[in-house]
Amino acid sequence: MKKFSAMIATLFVLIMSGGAIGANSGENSFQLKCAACHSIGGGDQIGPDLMGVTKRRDPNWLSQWIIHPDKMLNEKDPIAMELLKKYNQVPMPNLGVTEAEARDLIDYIAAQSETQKKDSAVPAQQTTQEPPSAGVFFGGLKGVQLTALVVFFVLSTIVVFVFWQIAKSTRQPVPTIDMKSAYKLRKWFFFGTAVLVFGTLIATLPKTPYPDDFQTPDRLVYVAAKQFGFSFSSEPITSASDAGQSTIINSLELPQGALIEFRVTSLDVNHGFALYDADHSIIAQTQAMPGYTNRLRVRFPKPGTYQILCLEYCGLAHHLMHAAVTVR
Amino acid sequence: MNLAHKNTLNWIMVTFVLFIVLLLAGMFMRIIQANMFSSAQSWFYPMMTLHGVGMAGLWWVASIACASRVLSRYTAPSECVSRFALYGTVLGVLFLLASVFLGQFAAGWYFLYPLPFKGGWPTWATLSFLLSITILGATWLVWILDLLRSIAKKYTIGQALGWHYILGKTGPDVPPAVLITAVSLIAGVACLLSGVVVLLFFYYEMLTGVANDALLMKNLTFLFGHLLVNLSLYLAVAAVYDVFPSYTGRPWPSNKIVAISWNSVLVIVLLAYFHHLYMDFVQPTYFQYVGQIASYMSSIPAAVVTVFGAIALVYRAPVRWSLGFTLMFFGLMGWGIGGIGAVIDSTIAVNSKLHNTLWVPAHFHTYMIEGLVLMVLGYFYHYCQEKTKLQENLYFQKIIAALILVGGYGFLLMFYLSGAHSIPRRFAVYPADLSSGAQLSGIALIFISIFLLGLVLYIYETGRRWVKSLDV
Amino acid sequence: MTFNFTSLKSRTVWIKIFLLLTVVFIIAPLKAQEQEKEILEKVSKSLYNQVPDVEISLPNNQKLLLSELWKDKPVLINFFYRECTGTCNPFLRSLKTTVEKVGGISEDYRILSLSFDPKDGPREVAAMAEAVGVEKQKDWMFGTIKPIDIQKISDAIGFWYRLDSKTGQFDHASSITAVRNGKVIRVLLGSLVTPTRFRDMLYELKGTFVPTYSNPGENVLFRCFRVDELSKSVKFGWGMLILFIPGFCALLIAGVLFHKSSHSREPMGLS
Repeated sequence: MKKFSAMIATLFVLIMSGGAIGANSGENSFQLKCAACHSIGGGDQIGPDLMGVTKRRDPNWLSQWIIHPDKMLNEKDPIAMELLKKYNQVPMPNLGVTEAEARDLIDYIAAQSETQKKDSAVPAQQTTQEPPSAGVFFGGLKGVQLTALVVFFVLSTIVVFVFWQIAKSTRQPVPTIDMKSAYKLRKWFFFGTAVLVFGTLIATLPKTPYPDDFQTPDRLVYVAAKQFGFSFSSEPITSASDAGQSTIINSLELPQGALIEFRVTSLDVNHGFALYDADHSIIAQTQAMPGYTNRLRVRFPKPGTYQILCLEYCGLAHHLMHAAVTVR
Repeated sequence: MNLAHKNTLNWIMVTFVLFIVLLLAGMFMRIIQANMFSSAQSWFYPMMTLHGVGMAGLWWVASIACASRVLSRYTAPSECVSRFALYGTVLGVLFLLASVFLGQFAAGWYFLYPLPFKGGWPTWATLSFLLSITILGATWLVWILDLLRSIAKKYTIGQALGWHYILGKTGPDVPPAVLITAVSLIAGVACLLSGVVVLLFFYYEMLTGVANDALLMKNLTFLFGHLLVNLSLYLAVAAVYDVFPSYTGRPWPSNKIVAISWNSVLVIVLLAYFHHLYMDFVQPTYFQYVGQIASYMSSIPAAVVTVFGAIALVYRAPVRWSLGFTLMFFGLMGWGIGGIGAVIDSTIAVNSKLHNTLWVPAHFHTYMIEGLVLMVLGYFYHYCQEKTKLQENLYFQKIIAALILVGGYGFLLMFYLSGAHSIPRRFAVYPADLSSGAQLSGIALIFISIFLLGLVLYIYETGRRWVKSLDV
Repeated sequence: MTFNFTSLKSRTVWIKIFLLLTVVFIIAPLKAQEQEKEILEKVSKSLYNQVPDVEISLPNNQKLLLSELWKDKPVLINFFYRECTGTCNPFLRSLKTTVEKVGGISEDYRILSLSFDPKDGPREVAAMAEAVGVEKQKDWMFGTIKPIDIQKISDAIGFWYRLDSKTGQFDHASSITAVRNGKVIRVLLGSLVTPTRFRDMLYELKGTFVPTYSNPGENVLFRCFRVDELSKSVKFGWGMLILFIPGFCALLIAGVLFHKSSHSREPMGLS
């Protein structure tokens, strides 16, 4: 009897954990492939809110729709056409979802819909936008960004001041001005501008972010951008078949202070690869371009989580394309 | 009514209508970014595309229209071609509207390869968009070639580009407007040709399936886009050069310095576009250096020669601050301020932190909305006022200018602050970490409303003169 | 009752099945996740590391130091063991095919295949070379090293292996480590060695980073860069020339336009 209860216990553990893993992989797939356009209980986005969709639609239809929407659109499936019309002619793309994955997804959506329903019984918290405080304007500015803004304000103020003085001067008009002294002034102005221009050039040109071949990085991370996510690997990924063969790293962890080389490319359109520090400020960026590999070298100054955002417009869910790296 | 006058009035009307429509599209973008109308979120990127292509194209044609009117004082551009350009532009805009509103085409105004093929919108929408750009490009190419022809009819290439001034001669007199227009139009041919090459590559891929090199397409696209926007500005500056003396009562002639500076602009403007590709690390590094050096250099002819010249012209001059002159004067100021923002961003080390943040729209909106737009609007008012000589209420006109300046610069300030806060450009919705972007868009909306009020009053003031000048 | 749950026999069977499923469903995915993290750590950490200069023995009983191999050209180090029924054979064959396709062995690099099984001696490694069909290739060497050195070197270059005591087989990585002047430059992972990646690795060994790639079957109209096989360097393609065409044509068109109009031009008066 003891063995029997052990068996039951194992069964229980198995079902729970199996369920958890199923849900987990469903969640992963959802985040990777669906979340760009859909929410569960968060309202319609580019595509419909999927809350309760498993009850609304026939399960067979739903899994077919998830697996090959393109085919169903071509066949002019009535529900598919209706959805296409409702969602501004943005078609649901074929995301290469397998049958097993579709099952996980449907389970995940069903489970989420249930939990959301329970949550919504409790009055939803009002998400009111805080009134903007002064912090929104200048709070947290630092580094190059702060310098750029200060330089811009100072120079612009000078320009505004000069134009204002000139405008005011027309109150006491004179028929002609002494052009000789004007030209003399222009000469000085020219020299002043030239010194400023060349001085800044000499000071800033050596500070480019391009990799130099005399310095060797400590770590190498391959990055493949794809609508609408990033994959990391220890090997170059340049095509969908590479992505199948190489080991994709789901949670990227990197050492603090080490020189990291990101080799960034794209599998479809142009993307951006920008690293944001914990203060939500860009520390470095490069572009991800199909057919090319950009090498971005970075030292992470502090431990913590750095967000990665796509900074080159790449399609309808561009603003949802992101990843994170943990620095220890 | 003669054809030249009729053409100009038509261009003015088209500009007013499209400006209001496209401005509302831009305002819509800021509304979405402020999280105020989330049910229309999926329209953000199509509207962004419309706003971008529309505004870039609109101010390009508007400034060619100004330059063509100015040029007709010295040469004889064909009015039939100008009319053809109007029809071509309207046709192109119709294709654009179809692709955006019916097909939800949303590849952005520079339709960066290969996004038009991989965006999820129907193929016909992509085709309609490409056809729209083709029609516009071909029409404009004919138009600017005709303007160049009209210059060539009167001047040799050396005279038109002021080479005799550089060699130390003082005659024959070539008005600066002709010199600047000649420089801009020659670069304009390069601009439209690079557009043609990009389009040919797109069509070739559509027909044969042979892919294109993404880096090559990006270079060509930015050569096209960068030149289009910069040359629009220079053409408007040509109009300002031509009109200013009539307000200040002082001549603004061509001379050696003016000739040298605008000839160098011709070279610089073709090289500065490299600054759009700083973050493409595979681009040869010396192109990047050339990009920064050329971008920095472009500030010298602009600031030292043109802005300084304008200032010297206005200083203690007996100016009547009518709406036309006020807008053009402050248009030069906006050009200068936008230029500062641009030069800061064209520093490679800074660009690494500001590239594709809202700093980019910040600086180009400055020299567009508070530079180019003011110069063109000022010129349009000047034109209608010259024709009708209506009584001017300077107090009312000052209020209009003040609304446009306060609204415009308030709106721009939010962009600059967002850029310094690393808020990305072209995001329909900001992530929770960057929610300050949404708050700043909300504030920007207040300023846009002020600008819009000023614009409506301006259109009322100029529109009255426009209606009256129909009978001239 | 034909099917008795409580019978001892079926109970043990069920327990076994459950345990097996538990392993498959819970532990295996977790382990796989652990492993992938580990691989990146290992590969990434070993880059630019100094490789210990250990002594190797060749089948003809000749002994030499690794540094003698890398002093004049880079060495591609990989590991195998004779008794392997898994990836060793297909891996070495795939490497051979790729080497034949890409070329450059002897001139540009050497290959060193080392056995990590202490049981393998000169005869076993010679047999392996013969099995792969490269026994006559003098710059593809097969050899053994002392067991103590195996651990040292595998730690340094990102290779790992462990003995499965049940089957007697090794569980191990398939990787090629490119070593130049004693330092790890690149590690290629996977049992299939593709020519494009192999070529990229050879360029990198020469200090040339290849910034562009094309996928098999992809046809591109004009490229900005091309890889020059002769000089082993990256050069401009036709695409870069196209960049200058608009500007050049514009000047040309302007020149022609002004020249053509010169006949009908009225002479400018001194107005």
